[in-house]
Order: sequence, then C-alpha cells, then structure tokens
Amino acid sequence: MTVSQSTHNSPGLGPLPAVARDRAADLHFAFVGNLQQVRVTLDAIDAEMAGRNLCPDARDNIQLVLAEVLNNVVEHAFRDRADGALSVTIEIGRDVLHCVVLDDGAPMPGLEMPNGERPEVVGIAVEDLPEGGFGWFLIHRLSEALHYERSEAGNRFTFRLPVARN
Amino acid sequence: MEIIVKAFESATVLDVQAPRIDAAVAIQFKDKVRAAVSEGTGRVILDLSQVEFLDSSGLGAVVAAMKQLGKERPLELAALSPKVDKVMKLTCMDRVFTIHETVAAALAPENVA
Repeated sequence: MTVSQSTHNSPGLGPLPAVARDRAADLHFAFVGNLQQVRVTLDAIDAEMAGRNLCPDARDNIQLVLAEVLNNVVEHAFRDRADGALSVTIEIGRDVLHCVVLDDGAPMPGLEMPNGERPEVVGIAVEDLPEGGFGWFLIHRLSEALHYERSEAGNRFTFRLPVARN
Repeated sequence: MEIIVKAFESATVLDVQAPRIDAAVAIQFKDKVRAAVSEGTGRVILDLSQVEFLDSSGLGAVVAAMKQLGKERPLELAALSPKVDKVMKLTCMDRVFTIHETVAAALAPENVA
C-alpha cells in the first residue's frame, strides 16, 4: 500500500539532467533515531556544507529544516521506541539540495503531513500563545516540493532546499 | 545546559549557557528557567548571546517559560544571534516578545518601566 500526499502539484521533478548531478557529492546518514543522534547528524551535515561555498542563509535553512523533520520523526514516529531506524540522504545539485528522509516508525496521523500554516501569535494573550505548531510551518516555509509517502517500510519525506552560493 | 542568574535592580537576567535550545534540551530548559526564577520579582531578561541555534521545540520552550512567568514577570529577550533572530521573525514571535539588541540595552534606564 502506498499513500501519497503533496503540497505542490508535482511529487518530485523526476531525474535531474545528468549535468546537474554529482553522484560523488551525495551525502547519506543512517542512524538510530534519538535526539542526540539527530544533533550529531546535523553537525556532520553542516560540516559538509561548510566547504561548499553556500551562502550562510542557505546553510542556516538546511540546519533548521532538517532539525525540524528529523526531530519530528524521533518525537512522533518513534514516540515509544528507542531503536527506530532513521536515514537522511542529500543529493547535492548546483542550486538545490534534494533531501530524502526515511524512517520505520508510526505513520503521520491521517497519513498526511500537518499543513504549513503559521500559528497565530500576534494579538494573542500570553496565556493563550501556542507552544507548538511552529515546526511544520518552518518546514513548509523553507523547503520546496515537500512530499510525504507512507509505505510498508515506513515514512518517506522528500523536499528540496535552495542553495544560493557565494 | 546551565543558566546563570544575574540579579539587577531593574531585572533578573538569565544567561543561557548553551549553543542550542532544541528538542534535545527543551524540557531541561523549561525546568532550569523555572528553578532560576522561583524567587524574585519583576522583569526577566533571557540573555541568548551564547545560543546559536533555536528550533521549534526551543521556541516552544521559551514561550512556555513566558507563560509560566505570567503577567507580573514579563519575559524579554536579548542578544539574538542571526539564526535565532531568523526563527523569531519567520514565526512572527518578534512581534510578541520584547527584544533587545544587548543585555546592556535591556537594562538601560529608558527600557525600565
């Protein structure tokens, strides 16, 4: 069974032209899904990005979006497990990173990602301010072609991150 | 994560000694803030100069801290790094929190109600 949902009309752009592909530049991290391992992985990815002449804003966005997606998997899909398998693969194109995050955890509720609406905060009384809901907003806001697919193997999130270079 | 409490006449400053307030430390952060402000009155300034990275869990923890402090003890932020500032702006929380460039500015006489 495969259930798909996409926020944009195309779930993926299909194969990239060969010229924009650099197979040797792909990054792949597979690890046991916990919050500490997410930190270690984010640091490793940032170290990889440091040498790639990206503008600082792009590097910051990569860290933030991956942090939100990976932590969401650990806190929700792996809620009751310490042995969840999590992986992130990043295919580095010229102007964009193609990211794939796989986990073998519980499905998204309703087999859909939460929408990316920004939680209302302006003009809200302090005691009523939301403490959650910012993560999916940031993911939707900073990524492109965000897509979620559930299969028997688990959850698969794909998205692109633009990388303006210096 | 350590939080250093500095009591000034006009405010209590909480100096967050951590490079990240993220999902891994969000609960710890809330507990440390609660312990740090258990005594005292008046404004609380969260000094974020050491914090390079704040994710949505960290933001939620800061919001929770503000709610916990209540109206009598307004929580204000100071010394945001570029990444933290960006998250505040994207989420519009920069329009909810009073944000100061530096701790010194937060303590300046013109900012003391």
